[in-house]
Amino acid sequence: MKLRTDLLLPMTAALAVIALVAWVAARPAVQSLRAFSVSSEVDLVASDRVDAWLQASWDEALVEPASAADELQVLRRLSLALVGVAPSLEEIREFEQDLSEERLQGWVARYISDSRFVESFAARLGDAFVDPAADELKPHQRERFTRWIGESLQRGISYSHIAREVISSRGVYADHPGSTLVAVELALGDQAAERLAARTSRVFLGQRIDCAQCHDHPFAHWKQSQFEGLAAYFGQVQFRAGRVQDTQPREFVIEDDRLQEQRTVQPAVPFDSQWVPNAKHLREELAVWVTRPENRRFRRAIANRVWGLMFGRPFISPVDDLPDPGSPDTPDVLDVLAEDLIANGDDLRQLVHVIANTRAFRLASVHEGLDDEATAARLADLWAVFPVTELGPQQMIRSMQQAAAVRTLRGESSNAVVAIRRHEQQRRFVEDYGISGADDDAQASTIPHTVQRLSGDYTRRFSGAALLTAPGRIAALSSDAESCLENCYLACLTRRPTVGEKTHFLPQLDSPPRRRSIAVEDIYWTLFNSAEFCWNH
Amino acid sequence: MSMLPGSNRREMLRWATGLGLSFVLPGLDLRAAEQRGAARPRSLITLWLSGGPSQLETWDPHPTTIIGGPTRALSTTIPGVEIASGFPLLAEQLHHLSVIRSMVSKEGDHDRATYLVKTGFRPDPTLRHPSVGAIVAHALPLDHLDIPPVISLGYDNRPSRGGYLGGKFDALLVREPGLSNHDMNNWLIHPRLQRRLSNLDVVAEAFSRGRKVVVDRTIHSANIDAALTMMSSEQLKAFQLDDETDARKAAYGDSNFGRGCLVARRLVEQGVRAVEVILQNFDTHDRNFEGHEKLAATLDPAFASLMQDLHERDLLKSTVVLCLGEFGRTPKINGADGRDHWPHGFSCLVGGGGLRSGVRIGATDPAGEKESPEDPVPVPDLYATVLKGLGIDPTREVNTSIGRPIRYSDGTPLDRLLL
Repeated sequence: MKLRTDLLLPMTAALAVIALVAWVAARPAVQSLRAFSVSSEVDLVASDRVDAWLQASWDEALVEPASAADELQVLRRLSLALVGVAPSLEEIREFEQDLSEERLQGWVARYISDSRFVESFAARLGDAFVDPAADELKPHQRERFTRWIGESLQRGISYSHIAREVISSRGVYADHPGSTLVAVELALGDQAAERLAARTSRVFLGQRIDCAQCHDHPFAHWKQSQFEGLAAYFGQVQFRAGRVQDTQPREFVIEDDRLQEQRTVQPAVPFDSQWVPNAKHLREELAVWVTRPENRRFRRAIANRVWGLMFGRPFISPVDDLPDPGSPDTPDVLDVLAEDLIANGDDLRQLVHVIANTRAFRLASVHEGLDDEATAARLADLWAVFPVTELGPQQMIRSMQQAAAVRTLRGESSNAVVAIRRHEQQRRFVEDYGISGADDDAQASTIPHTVQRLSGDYTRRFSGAALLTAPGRIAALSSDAESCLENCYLACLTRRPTVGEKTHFLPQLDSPPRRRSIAVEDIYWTLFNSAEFCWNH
Repeated sequence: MSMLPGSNRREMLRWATGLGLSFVLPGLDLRAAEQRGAARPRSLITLWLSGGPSQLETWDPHPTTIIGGPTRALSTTIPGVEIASGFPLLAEQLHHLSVIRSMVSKEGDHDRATYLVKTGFRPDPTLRHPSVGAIVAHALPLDHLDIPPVISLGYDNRPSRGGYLGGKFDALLVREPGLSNHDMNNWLIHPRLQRRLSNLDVVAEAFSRGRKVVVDRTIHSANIDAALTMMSSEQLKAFQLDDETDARKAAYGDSNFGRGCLVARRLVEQGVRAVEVILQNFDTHDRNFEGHEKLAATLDPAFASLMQDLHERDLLKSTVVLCLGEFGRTPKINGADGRDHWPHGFSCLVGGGGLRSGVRIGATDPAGEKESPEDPVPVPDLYATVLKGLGIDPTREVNTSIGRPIRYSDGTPLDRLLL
């Protein structure tokens, strides 16, 4: 085909623009975040109180907790929890060269200020607020909401402020991302007030008051009238011309399907109404009531949720149906964490640091008692061993992508085209991997998922020993078979091979370079398909 | 499940695939596939109408009443029983089934109601109950089945789970059954598989040390065995429709649900214990009538062909067929020409296996005013009946991981429906 010269100039201009955009997109994002340096600012007394509480419960049950986990193991947990991916080879090397005494806490701070913290930790927290599967939630809206939460947390904005925004903010979501939950529920139509009441109580109070929508709560003391009173707080909010706004006070009418009747309901909080202030809007009143320092449920709920994001299992399950708080004179772990939050301005970074510093978080996931069902259940109940939980599909695909690269993969440090391709791979994988993670105890390790890992494109692509991939470079550049094997293990499992594993694998690697890259591919395939890779531990 | 490298099935697979001889693996379970009539091992097919179908637009129409809307009724092969006019083909097959018009529950939320209607138990914070399909598979274990015993066909937001019976009773989800480009056809076995699998045993052993119970519970290794077995099994053919005639495929309908129903019949022939075929979009808060008309056009040919096919192949005496959703819809028509959630009197169709057909149970108020239907049937009673119809004792207890024995079902079987 002959090239038309009259098109040359516009084409060159277009290419120049594309190159410019790609270059700009590849620049590291400007970091304007207030650093949260650990040693000086974080008060970790609460970790000691949690340790003491758990120690007492171990003593009482005559249980010996697991020994301390290897620090690399703890780094993997932190990395999965906070940035949603196993550590890169680059990070592992850097971590091992970090000789500071409290290096793990330093890495907590580092991970919190990482751009991946927003994509991972904040996204998972945001999913609790706004159902990611809701039809009315557009991808850009979800991204904006997540970014708002993540960057707020990174800047040390208090969680009670975030909660108040989610419950009561007005306007267009682009300017007021906090309004996303209300906007999405209103866009879904019918019974928005009821759904908003349900979300509010589940997320911010850790209570399923919505079970009382059709009947009194089956296990707790919630009454239908309490649920309806809460819903009435959302009776005046509307979504008009793309904006969330409150109308003038008007009656809130519940349609009772069962009794086939309508009844007018007055706004009423389900307990401690003396905390309700006089504000301009009903939703503001509710927001203030929810986040009051006296409202123990609010901070217990977030402490439980963040514990869940860190450990893979909330301190109390299910995460949104907590028992009533006990006496304040005998605080439990959630009370300790909640009190510490108040003392630190509801800064969730503090909560993350405290949880990461507990002994429970640093325990091994192995224990001699795990050879027996009954003992295993007891150890798990008492947090005497670190729980083994399945990676979510996002964590799984990102860990595969990361293992296939030597350097740490971040959106801002790759060029735009590569970043978009990587993002697209993640989206497709999560879609193929199905709905796992949608509910607390969903089992993602089904047979089709296993088939996908055994023979799917992803495993093949990320274990391929090409010129620029980690498997290719490990095969070509490792000085000997032993370091080659070690690199594979560190990249995939964040640990070194055992003696038995060396005995098994080294003969496979002891071969000329061409054969060695085949062996590395096989080792990568093996590690990707191992339970150890697919589970957090 | 065995974690040992010497596990027989995997060893055999290695040997067979290594030589390119996967066809020598145990293929069709001849006994299951060839047996007919009541002597066959029993199975359950559930047609799951996700979102909550309107009883008034399906099996309990009230034409010419205020609550009935524009929906008309059609007489069926059960004397005196009419169903909505969108189901002319099914009306001809209805004598194979019974209709219950008085299902009741107290769950009006999709999640909670789905839990109840899939398991027969209300949600319980201390325990996750297995789906009824999982219970059937647990109660009637079967050798020689390379594919999982519980299978879900179609798109499902709330898939059936193994609950306290364990992850191996989770449903295998196949979203687009019967399509030739399905993953099932692309499962290739890698030439270096043998070395890779023996590598895997070594890594698995290292991880299992000191956390045996926990790692066993992940069923990771068992899943790999099962996946490998399945990838090389002749039984996979049940998922493909290549050897079905065009006429038959056309009769079930050119839809994901239609193909799902045809695949369901093929799976049951293979001996799969519980197959669920999902039809979505019944949550018609607005434009209820339009929505149901469209869905009926998909449901009618598929359901009717399935009944006819099972009957002609003499599979119906061994297969219970159940069609329902998580709840019904309000008698009252809302402002958006829709109907909202209604767990206080909804319908289901059930038949086959050891169940009586042609029976009608219960009735709802044609004026839509009474709170409770005549002769109410709670969900657990339906499942106690279905289990009996499959030859399973619903009072059998299973020890759960929390140390509390739980019955398969807490319901009371409906004698009227039992043969």
